[in-house]
Amino acid sequence: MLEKSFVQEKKTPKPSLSEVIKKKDYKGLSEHLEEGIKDYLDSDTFQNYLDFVSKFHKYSQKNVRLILAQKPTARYVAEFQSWKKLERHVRKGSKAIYVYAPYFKDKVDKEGNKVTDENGEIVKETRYFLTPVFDVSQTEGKEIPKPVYNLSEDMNDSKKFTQTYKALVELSPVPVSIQPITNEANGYYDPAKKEIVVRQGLGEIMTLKVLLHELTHATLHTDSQAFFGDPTYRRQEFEAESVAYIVSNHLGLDTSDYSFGYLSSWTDQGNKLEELTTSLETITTQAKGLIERADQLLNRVYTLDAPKNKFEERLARARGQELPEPRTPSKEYEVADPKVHRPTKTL
Amino acid sequence: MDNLTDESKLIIVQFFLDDPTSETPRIHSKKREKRKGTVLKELDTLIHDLEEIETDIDLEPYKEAAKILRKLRGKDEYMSFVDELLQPYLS
Repeated sequence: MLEKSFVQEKKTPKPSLSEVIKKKDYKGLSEHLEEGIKDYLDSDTFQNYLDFVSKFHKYSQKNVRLILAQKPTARYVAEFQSWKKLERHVRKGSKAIYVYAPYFKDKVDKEGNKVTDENGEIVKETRYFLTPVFDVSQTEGKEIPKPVYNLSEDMNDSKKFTQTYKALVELSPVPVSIQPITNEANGYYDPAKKEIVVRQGLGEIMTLKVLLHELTHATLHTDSQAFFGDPTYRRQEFEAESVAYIVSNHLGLDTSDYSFGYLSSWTDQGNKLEELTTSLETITTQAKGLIERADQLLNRVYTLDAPKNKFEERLARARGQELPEPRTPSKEYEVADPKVHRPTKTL
Repeated sequence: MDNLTDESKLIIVQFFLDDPTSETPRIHSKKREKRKGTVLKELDTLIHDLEEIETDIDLEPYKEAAKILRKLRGKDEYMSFVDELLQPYLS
């Protein structure tokens, strides 16, 4: 009797992310990231992503996901030399985190001649390579600079709120007003009238959060025809809420009341996973733009208000550093004071 | 230059950038004028520092970049090498 032999089909275990990176398997890494998007349907993973972007908004969603896939607790990353310039050193034995960095080159044909387009311009091509960086937690040394403002500490100071409110109004592409609203909404963006209305009497923190949410609609969903309950409407709400969360977090506002339960039913709501990748990119880009412009305005106004440190001035001069010209208030802050109810300790 | 991998070329280019790991890299106007000795010194120091901290980074592309830089003879050869590397970033 013939013995039937079975050759058990061995499944090759999927290589881990660090193995893929170590092998410089770019195709494998791309697949890894593509599949990894489903992890973001978990609201904790998603919130960790938003927290990272609120603190460090230099990279696109792809690099942010790549960083967090390697080190979920990462917060600020930089290459070895940059940490050195900041007088911090990378601890011995630290495992590098890799990000994609572009490399530009002139395109050449098989004979090695440069390829030109119809206008005679040399065609460029871009390749991406993994380049090592380290997280702040892997370094030690001089303290890293903190933003000059932190709203959570200063919300009892109405001036801080007014300055922040005015800065955000400056960033708005449409007029903003604070008014009584008859329905239950805390605020809205009206695509037809091109205006943002925030409910009067919300209190300071909520006023800023609602304004950030509506600002995102006014910037990203300018002519939205979406109606309440449809998939586009829900996706737009999700994007606006995510951006508001990132920027609020960046400004130091309490974000504990945000939730992203909507994610758990992402696919049930008729959305595809690829759309989540697109939304992540949209959220990241919009938050980055808002943070950068808000930082510029707020740094300017807060530095203007801050008393000058003569010692630092002298030290900078001794080092031969150029000092900026004294700043004067600009017209940018000639926005009417917002009408909110104070104090609002229960918020 | 042709026997240098693109990865090693990127490592050299990064010494001339405003922000070496930026997704939208720009050449730093002052760094653009860096001499061969300066770039080599910075690269050798980086290789040494990375070896010192015993990290898992593959240092071969860095060493390959340093080797090619060392082989360049004279200012003209170095300048033409750098110009070709940086040109795609400038136009």
